[in-house]
Amino acid sequence: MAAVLACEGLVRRFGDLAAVDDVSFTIAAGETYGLLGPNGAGKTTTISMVAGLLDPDVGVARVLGDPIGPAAVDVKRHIGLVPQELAIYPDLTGRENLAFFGRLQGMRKPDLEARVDEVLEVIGLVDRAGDLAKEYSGGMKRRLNIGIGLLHQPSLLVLDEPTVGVDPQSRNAILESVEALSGEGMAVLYTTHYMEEAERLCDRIAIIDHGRLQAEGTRDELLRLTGEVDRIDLVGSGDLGAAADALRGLSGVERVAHDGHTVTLTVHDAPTLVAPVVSTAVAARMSLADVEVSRPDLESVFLHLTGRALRD
Amino acid sequence: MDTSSIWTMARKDLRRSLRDRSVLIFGLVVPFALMIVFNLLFSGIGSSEDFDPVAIAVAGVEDPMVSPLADILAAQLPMETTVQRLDAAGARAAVEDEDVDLAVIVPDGFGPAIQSGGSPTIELLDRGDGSIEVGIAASVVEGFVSQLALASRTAAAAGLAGLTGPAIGDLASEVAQADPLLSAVPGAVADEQLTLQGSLVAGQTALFMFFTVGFGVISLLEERDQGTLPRLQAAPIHPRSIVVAKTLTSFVLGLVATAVLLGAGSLLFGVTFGSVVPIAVLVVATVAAATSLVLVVIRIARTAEQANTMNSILGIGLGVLGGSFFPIGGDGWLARLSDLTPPAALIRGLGITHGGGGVADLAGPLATVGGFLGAAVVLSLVIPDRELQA
Ligand SMILES: Nc1ncnc2c1ncn2[C@@H]1O[C@H](COP(=O)(O)OP(=O)(O)O)[C@@H](O)[C@H]1O
Ligand SMILES: [Mg+2]
Repeated sequence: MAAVLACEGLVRRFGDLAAVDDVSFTIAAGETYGLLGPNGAGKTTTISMVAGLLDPDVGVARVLGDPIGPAAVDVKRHIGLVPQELAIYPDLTGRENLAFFGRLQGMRKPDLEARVDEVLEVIGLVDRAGDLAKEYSGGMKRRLNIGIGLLHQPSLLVLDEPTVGVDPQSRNAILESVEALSGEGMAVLYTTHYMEEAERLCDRIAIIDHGRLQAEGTRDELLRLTGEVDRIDLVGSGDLGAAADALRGLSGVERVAHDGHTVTLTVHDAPTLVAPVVSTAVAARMSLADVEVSRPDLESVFLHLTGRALRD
Repeated sequence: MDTSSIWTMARKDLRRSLRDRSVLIFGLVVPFALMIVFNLLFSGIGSSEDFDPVAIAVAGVEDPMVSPLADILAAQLPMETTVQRLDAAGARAAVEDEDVDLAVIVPDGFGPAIQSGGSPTIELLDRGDGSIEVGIAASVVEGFVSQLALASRTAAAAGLAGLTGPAIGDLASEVAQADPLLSAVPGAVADEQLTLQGSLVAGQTALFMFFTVGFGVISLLEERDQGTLPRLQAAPIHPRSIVVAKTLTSFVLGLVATAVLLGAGSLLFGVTFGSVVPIAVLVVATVAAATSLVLVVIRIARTAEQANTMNSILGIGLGVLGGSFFPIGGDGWLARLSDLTPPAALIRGLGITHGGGGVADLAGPLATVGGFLGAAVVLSLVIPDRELQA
């Protein structure tokens, strides 16, 4: 099947920084594709090029075969964008927000009205449709933000971290509606720094860091990349940097990263290594609150590929 | 560029502006309130019989500052006025002894302070009986200080641009030679004059036009700050139509507010401005000039808030310079600068239409407004659009 979105060697620089550096991938109809990476990885910059907000310095993004960019007015019709920041008018009602962006997409009454009602149903805002958006809860604003992207039934829906700062309940509602969309044949590009979301939603995932795609594939393909490694998380306090340094010297330990309260390791054969890992950490004066051993997941893939923890 | 999406965006912003109380307040309520207050303050002024005579002592060592101020007080107050020069201590004693009603003491270093952009205060001492005559005299002193400060800042700006501005003492005497505070506004021909109420309505309308047009164009920065700009840019519309829609919004808001203020103001105060067509031409041209100024402002400001502040300062500056509060007459360079502002053009133009002038008679004001518009459009094209494209 022809790709709905094809990115070919996208590069975008800001001064000396290559925010996006030679990024290529494709998304087919009905497919949900995830860009997984930490803050500053280049996800929003990639999406800005895909949605026609920014021209790439090098490379091209094609939507349904046509190059997209700020001047490609007609190609934009096929794209629905859900920006990372809320993009709604607080002093318009939910219904007015939807109707305004629908008109900009070229929709007209009576189709527009029918479609607005439909979307209000999908995002669960029928009862509050007549209230000003500034009176909505955070979760309701997020849902309206997504509803506007869906309104004109685009071939490609682009969502930039739509669950950041959302309560667990709304988050689940958002994830469910994204799952439903790919079922309807929409191609979805979804960025996140939550690996659980990428694992749950995405047919294929690209891991992005420092503007480069580090790896791409289905969840299982990515997990296989790490080889036979398990993950150990040491939660606690003390000098975590010193503990991490000490652990790097241990044989069987592959990668080590740490943040303020957790040291994360990928190891070959966790069951035999847990004991030496714990005693090494304790010897380095780390006081442990918890030790977790897990089978490989995308967190360990990211650590394996970049030597860093996904979350900062 | 498609007109339908431009209109869709402009209509959305007009709807939002109707919900924004500050647009209503600054566009209509405040200017009306000011017209009414000024009218109450000033009406009836002009015949000295209504007032008691007033005696004023003026003190201060800087003659280039003090003499023009004494001249203004002697010449421009609507009541019978005697002004005497004393030293500071003498002036204070004269008020104590009730020899004079008001002592006006210009502090040492006043001229240099104004010149370096400060706002020194002139000391005013009265007998504490709160008479209206003393109040009027005091407001004339304040008017002198603020006009002088404005003139000095304009001169400083001219200095930055490489022109040699006049000395502060010359500025003071120019301010003093300006038309009397409450005279009618002269039109092209001697009999084409607005009444006091006419010039109040025209002046306040011209002043607040700048606030009203600010709403549309400045909301472009707001869209960026609140995150909706990317969504507009991702919509299938020509990128330029976003700015065009904002400009249209400003223009429509400016036209509506101006029409309402002029219309309701003339009903309320019983003044006439002449026939509709030339007035409409004049108003359209002036609103366009005001809108073009905001297009320059948004190129320079980094946030919507900054743009609003800059727009207010520019609006008030141009309004005061253009004679929204009282005309800057005479033929000094300040008066010539004043003539170049859109508010002055609108007030002058309305004087012409009031005197029966048609579109052809408006050539002078229209040329002024056109020049302003052209300069602003060129500026807005020359200043790079660094924020909005990224
Ligand atoms: N307009 C810009 N100007 C300069 N640097 C930018 C700009 N936008 C993004 N960057 C930089 O590019 C990098 C990638 O940013 P971004 O694409 O927003 O990452 P992400 O969305 O993955 O958090 C970051 O280092 C960021 O600071
Ligand atoms: Mg981002």
